Amino acid sequence: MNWNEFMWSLVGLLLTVMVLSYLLGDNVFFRLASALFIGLTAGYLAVLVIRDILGPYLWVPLVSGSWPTRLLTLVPLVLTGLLVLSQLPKFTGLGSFPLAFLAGLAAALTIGGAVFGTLLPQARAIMDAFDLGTGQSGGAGGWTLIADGVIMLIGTVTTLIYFHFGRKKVRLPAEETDQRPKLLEILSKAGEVFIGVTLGAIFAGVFSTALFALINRLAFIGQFFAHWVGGF
Amino acid sequence: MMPEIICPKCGTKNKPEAEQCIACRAPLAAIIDEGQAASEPNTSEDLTLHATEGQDLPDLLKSLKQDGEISSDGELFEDQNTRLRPDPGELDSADTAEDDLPGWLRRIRERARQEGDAAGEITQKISAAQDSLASGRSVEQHENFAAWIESLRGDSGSEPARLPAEQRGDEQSDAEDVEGSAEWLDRVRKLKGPSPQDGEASESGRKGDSLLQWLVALEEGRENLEPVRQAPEPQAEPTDIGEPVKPGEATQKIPVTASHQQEPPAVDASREEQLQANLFSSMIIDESAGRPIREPGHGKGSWAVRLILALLLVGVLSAALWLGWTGGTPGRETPLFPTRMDFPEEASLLLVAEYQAGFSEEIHAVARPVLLEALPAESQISLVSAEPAGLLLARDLLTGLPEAQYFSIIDIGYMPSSALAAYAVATHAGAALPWEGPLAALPSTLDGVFILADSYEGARFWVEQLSVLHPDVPLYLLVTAQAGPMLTPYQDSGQVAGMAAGISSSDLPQESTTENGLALHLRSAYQTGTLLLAIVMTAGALLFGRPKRSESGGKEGEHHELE
Repeated sequence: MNWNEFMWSLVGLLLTVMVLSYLLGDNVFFRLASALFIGLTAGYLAVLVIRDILGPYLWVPLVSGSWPTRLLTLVPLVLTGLLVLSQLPKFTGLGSFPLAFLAGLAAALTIGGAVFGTLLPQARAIMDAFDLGTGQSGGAGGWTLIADGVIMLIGTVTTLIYFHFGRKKVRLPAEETDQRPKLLEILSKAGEVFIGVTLGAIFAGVFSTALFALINRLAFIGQFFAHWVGGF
Repeated sequence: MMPEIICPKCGTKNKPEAEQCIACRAPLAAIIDEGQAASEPNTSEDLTLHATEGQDLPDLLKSLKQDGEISSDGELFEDQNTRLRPDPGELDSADTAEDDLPGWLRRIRERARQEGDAAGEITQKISAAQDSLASGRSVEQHENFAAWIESLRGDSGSEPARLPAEQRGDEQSDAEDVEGSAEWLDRVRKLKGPSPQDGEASESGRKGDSLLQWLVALEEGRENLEPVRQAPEPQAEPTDIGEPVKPGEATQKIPVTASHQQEPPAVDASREEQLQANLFSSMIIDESAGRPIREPGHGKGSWAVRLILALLLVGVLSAALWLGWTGGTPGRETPLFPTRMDFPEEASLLLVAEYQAGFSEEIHAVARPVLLEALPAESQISLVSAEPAGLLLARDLLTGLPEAQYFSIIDIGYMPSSALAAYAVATHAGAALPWEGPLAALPSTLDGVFILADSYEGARFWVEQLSVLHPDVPLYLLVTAQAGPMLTPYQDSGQVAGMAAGISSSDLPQESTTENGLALHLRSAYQTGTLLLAIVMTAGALLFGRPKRSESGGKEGEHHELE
């Protein structure tokens, strides 16, 4: 019998049961398991950051790099120092510099990726579905692709219309001020259908993932007793 | 004490025992005897009349108020001449008494009526003495009245004056009389405007007090009243201040509150804009206001239902897991990935592990068959992750493959952000660094990228960066079922070469052998659990999913009126 494997399996079993005890309501076992996981994650993350970030990208070039490398390393070092100092009440404002740098960098990457990596390629894909000359849209299968493209186009347009709440700057009767134009109202109803289908698919996916996680934990418990108790 | 004798001839004061005037030597005894015989009954009658009229000063005030000359607190509103104008009754009684006066005195008084200056000092002094004597008998009532007025002035804003019972009754009758004769009050109100205290008093039902207190305050200058602004809205119920008060009403309703209301500016807003404005105003205005604590909707009964459902789910899943059907499912007619994963023998691959430990079993169940088929035996696999546990889990996945011993695994390491990591890998940022960091170990060319992710965001950044900067490198998504729907458009657009989302779209082994027996049990339990929960949700929707109707007839939670 491998006692090391048994002990870790037993720890896993106990933690699994402690988390599943939430079925009976919030209790001390569930909170103990939650606190244990949070503490482990924080400690592990700290070690990981030191080993994979601070060590190779800050400490190594600062100690063993050339002088230009060391000067270059001073930039992240100063920004890091400012971020640490911002935790002191007197130097709170100093943290805005590194945070502004990070926010600008993240915004640039996110916007650039969203425009060039999502918006344009998918808009082009919808238009390609109507291109009969590409070969994809020819023949019997081509009409299927066109129908698919039409559905995607309708879904995209009506979903965008659903989130349109503006109206013309004209003076309307009081009973009409809270209504969009009738055409937009009708199209937004179609957009609601597409949004509902999308949210339903997402919910089914979340539900499926959670169900599989539960099945896996039940399988782990069964395996533990079958292997260590039943001897299978 | 005997009063001094005033000479009827010259008016000089003489001692009581004097027989003749010390100034004109006129004999006083006969005159005194004659005068006393004629004047004593008359004087006593006058005094009796005064005493009778002054037995109760509020009655006197009442009679004066009925003539519209005095307010409840005794303040006069007309000039002095008007106040001193005698009543006809008084003139009649005076005429009756004058019949008994001596001829000379009647002539003096007659002349005094015709000429105010001709009364002479003697007559004026006699009148003054009579008034003084009459007022001396009623001085007690005057003092009480003065004290009452003072107490009203002192407590005009707080509580009604404390008076004897009979005076309180008189005070109430005073108030009624005042309202009955509101002509003078209307004139005052037209000049000064109504008092806010009137409205408050009328609301509290204190009859009469408010008017008296307001008059006192008005007289003292404590009231700084503005003319009433007529409220434009009909619900303000403006009252015409010039309208005479009905005799039965104790107070007059004055629209004081309407003067403090401001009509909101007219704004044209759509329903959504109005809702957002309401939400915003509730956020900034009502921050400190207490909010009702929403009690959780589950009682003991719902707790028991939840427990029963959980136990039912666990029991059914356990039974399906260990006792269920494991015969497998029909084979997939179409390949999982439309693009054939035809890598060279020594392929350089990148494996991105963007998932947490809780989803590792599903990810591994999806990825293991794919990697078994796709990875060449001598592949060079680089591992990178923006999840703390991602590298450990990915290494565990690779080492579990049969050909793991032939793999060359390069640990790029943990990177703190998916977007930064994707950009750094896509641009080969490691080559730009002047020192050799972990990123420098990444091969310059990649034959394929496997993205293992448990969420949409984790995979999206990698797809966006790599599909733009390396469009020729095939991307394969191996993700959980919850991330699949949002990532499908990337597959439809051709940015992703292939995608497997969740256990339902994975190629689990179809044969029931010792090694893959657990996988077949997992699939069986998964299908059973999906069916069970679909039934439970449908039943719950049918039984409890109907929208509740509120008392007003609308659906619960629907706002019919915008604030």
